[in-house]
Amino acid sequence: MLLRLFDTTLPSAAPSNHDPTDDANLRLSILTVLSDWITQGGGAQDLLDNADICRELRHFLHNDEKHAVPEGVSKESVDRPAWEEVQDFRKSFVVAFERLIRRPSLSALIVHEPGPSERTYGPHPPGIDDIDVEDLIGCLDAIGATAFRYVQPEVSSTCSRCKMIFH
Amino acid sequence: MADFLEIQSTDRTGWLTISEAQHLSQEEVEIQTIYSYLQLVDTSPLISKHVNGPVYKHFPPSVRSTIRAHTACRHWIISKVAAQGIGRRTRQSRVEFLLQAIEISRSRSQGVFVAGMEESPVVRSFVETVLTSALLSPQSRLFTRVWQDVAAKRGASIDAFETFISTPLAPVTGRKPTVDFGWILERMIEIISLPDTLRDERDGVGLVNFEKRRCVETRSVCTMIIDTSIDTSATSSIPCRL
Repeated sequence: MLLRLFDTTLPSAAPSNHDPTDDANLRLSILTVLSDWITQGGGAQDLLDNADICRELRHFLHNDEKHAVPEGVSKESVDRPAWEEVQDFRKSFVVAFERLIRRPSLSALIVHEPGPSERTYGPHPPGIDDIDVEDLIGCLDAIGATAFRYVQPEVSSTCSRCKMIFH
Repeated sequence: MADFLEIQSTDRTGWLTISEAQHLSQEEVEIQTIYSYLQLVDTSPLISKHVNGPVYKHFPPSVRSTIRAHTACRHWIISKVAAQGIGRRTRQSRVEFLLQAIEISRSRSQGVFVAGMEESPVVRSFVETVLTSALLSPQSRLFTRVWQDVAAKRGASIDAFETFISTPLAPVTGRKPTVDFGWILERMIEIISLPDTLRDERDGVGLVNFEKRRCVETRSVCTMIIDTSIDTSATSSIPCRL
């Protein structure tokens, strides 16, 4: 629906008497909603579970033709700043989108700080023939612990509701 | 998440999957785990008539992230066991190495207790689940000769995976392992599956199932998750069972 709404701001769809600033504001609003969903609403995780929507959104964000400033808006035009803001926002959104698709952020949750005894592992997986068994266990356990750490605050916050359901 | 699991369980066919009439050989059969099953079973129409796809997609982001972590680690281990061109000896040593890792992680798990679950000797850890499901994958089982050699070396039966696992003789040290989230999900479904009321056979009167309430109190998922929280304290020493 948002993408269809975005299409109404395209020069081919907009009537000739359309205010370019309104179009720029509408585009900015749509991009802001999408950005909020991806960065704060857990949308990156949803996209990883739905390859079709992920592909469609990536195609939309990288479509330079669709995001181009209308030809009627010249460099000296009063509407230019609004359009430049849209362009800048889109650039930063594309960067954030690509980053979060690789590793979704769960920053909305309260995360426990790592304990002093926790060891940190690098970004690359170890060579299985070069490590000892303790290292392998530690490495896998660190991954499990990191994933589990996000579940705890989420479940703790809904603990009372959960008990009500079971009763 | 408990909402979804409960509604899915309310649907009498909620946990059934559409069995595909494929004639798979025994070696090709995928042994199901709670992770693979949740990614396979369709969303019940009682949850949503408009949303298709596996039920796990309705879970909170953190839970999906945990499921994804399990899948990624499992795939990585499978890629190491089933790698091409590494030779039989290297593959055999890798399988042996992973079996040792399972033994150690199981020994460490013996120190993990959850309220109400004392009858369970070992609470499954994340590491154990990942390694076991990877070694039991069809890609790993494909290398029959390697498994036969490992079985002969360990005095195990090729048909029973548990015979490959023995308790290490030396005391196992190290911090307590992270509990497998799939194990917690299984306990959640177990509690949900208990009836709320019981019918008295003689009088036909409905009685409150206090056992379920007791389970909720002592084994409630929240308690479990809080109790099984990651232990970042100092290294503990856990004597093994001889």
